Amino acid sequence: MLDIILIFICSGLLIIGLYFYIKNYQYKNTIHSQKKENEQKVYELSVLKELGERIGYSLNIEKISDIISGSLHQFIDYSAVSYMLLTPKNIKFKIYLESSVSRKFVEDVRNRMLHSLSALLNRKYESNQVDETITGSLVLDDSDDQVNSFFNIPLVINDKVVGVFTVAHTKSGHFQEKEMTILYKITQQASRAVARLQDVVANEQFKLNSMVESMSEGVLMTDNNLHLLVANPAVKRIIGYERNQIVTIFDFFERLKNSLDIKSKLEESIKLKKINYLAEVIINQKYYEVFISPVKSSKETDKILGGVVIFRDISQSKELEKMRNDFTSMLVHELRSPLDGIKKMAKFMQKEGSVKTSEDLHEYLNLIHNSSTNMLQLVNNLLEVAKIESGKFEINATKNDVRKIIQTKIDFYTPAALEKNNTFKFIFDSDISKEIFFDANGINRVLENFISNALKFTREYKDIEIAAFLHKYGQDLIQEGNKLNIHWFLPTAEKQRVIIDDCLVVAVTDYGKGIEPEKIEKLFNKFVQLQANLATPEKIGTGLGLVIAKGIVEAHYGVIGVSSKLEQGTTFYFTIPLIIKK
Amino acid sequence: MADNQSALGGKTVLLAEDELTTLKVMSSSLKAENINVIEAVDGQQAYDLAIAQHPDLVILDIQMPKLDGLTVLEKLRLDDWGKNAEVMLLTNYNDSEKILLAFRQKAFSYLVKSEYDTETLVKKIKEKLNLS
Repeated sequence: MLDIILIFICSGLLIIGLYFYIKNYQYKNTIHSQKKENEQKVYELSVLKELGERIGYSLNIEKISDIISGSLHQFIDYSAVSYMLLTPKNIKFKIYLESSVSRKFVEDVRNRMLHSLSALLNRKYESNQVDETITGSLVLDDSDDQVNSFFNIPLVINDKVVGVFTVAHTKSGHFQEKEMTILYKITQQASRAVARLQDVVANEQFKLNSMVESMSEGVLMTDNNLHLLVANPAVKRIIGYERNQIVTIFDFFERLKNSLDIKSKLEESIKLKKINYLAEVIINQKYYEVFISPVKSSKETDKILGGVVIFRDISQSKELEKMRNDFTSMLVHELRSPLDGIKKMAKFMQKEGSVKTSEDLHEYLNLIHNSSTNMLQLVNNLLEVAKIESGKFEINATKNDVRKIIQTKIDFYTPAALEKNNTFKFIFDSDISKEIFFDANGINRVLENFISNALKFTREYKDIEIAAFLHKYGQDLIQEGNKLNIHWFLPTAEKQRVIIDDCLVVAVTDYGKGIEPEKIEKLFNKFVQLQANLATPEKIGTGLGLVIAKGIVEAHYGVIGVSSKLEQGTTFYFTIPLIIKK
Repeated sequence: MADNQSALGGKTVLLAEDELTTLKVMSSSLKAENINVIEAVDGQQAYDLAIAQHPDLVILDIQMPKLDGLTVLEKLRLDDWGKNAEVMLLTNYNDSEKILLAFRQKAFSYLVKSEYDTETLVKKIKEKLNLS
């Protein structure tokens, strides 16, 4: 009985032990497979990551496809992996054989892929368009392996099918969803990377292109063989082409042949990796600064990709420089001549017998006086211009009676006007309050300048019209003038004459020959004025009067201007704001 | 403004100068050397008087009202008499561009006034006239 009990207990224990053993075994197994699965996942991830890094910033899809097919055996067991890519020239077919297969096997894969590609793109691709490469194991002619299992994964970049991957095996039923998922994941990742890169590149290219297009500098770029790669609108304009015209490098050789030998300069730059700088090149009567530089590869700085030529138009600064030089030499001349004359006169007078009578003495002294007076006036004007330019010109605004000031000037000039049978017409707006703040000395000089100029230019038997009125904020200056019957030459069509603040407007109009538009813009330029004045028949004053007048008016925060109609006459005007900021 | 005093002969010089002190001094100094002087105060006057009176020597300032000296020279060279006339530029411009222009038009001398005193200038003019 005890035995039985003992056996029973032992059996029970055994059963329990067995149970636990089995339980434990099962548990161990589960853990093991989970662990394996995790390891697989970690491995997959690390390979994917490595793949990502190797694909890196490459835009070469063929290279990427090589990397993918070269790494795939780490995940999947197969006889062959292959890709087929669309290139502009042909269809690239490359197959990696993991084990030796028959020619028939390769043909089979190739046909299936071509079929799949045709279906994906809804186009018929022929076998003779395919460029084939086989790597890996050998193709054995005597074997008769067949494709017994396979799957395709299309390679899609930016929603465009660019090719297809195929994995094939001689064993049937070899591939499951797992394998397909892996390849799908890999191609997806590669495709995303390429798409992103393509976006960046396209974006940069667009930015670069629009920048080069809109540059005011002329830019042309060639490759190492001087094939034209880029010619922006500005550079086309320089050689006299329209922006949409197609140009070749030969157009540049031809059109620039009298200005610079662009061919040898470019060749020199590319060959010697040297930047050429030409400070002054004249092309069609314009001045350019020209840079010729090799284009270096950003990766390998030793590698030259081509040459670039940049043309910068410096005609304006050239003209300004010439104006300055002319001005200086004119100035020196204008000061030296009277000084030399006075000196020689003094020496002459010292000589015995040169001054015989008191009339002689009077004449010589008079000449010296006039010469030095003119010179002093020029020096004074120049000093004033210098003061204006340096912003040190100060006005002393006090309450003044505009009407009285203008009337006094008219009275002063009336005898001179009568000599030419001119009369003054004075239009005075009664709204003007008796006293307005301004610098009486300064405004007197502006008026003198305007009136003496008008006298110089108006025709015989014509009026000189002087008008003074108040401009109201928001009103049209032309209409305000019309109401007062002013016959001036301000442009009627433009709306620009709405001057913002309330101000006094004074306009002096002559009925002479008018001024050419190209001269008008230079009237207030000191460089041109001094020179222009010397060439006029009268050579009165220094020609700097308008330059100074502008300075005076602007010191009052006013506006000075001129409008003219050829053969009809000219209006000079200025404004003085009613509230002068001090 | 021709000086008709010395109709007996002697050389005649046309002096074109807008700086009146200089004109007076030069003119008086030349007259003191018994040279006849025709005075002109601007370029137009200088041209008209030269064509009308055919002086032995034309002395031109460059910077003058109406016509500058170089333009007068250019115009003279188009005239039958003027194309071989003796011309001297006497100026205060020291500008190589202008000197070049002057020599292109066969000006025989180019003198910067302020570099010489009156006596030297008169001497140079006399040399030009073969009077020394």
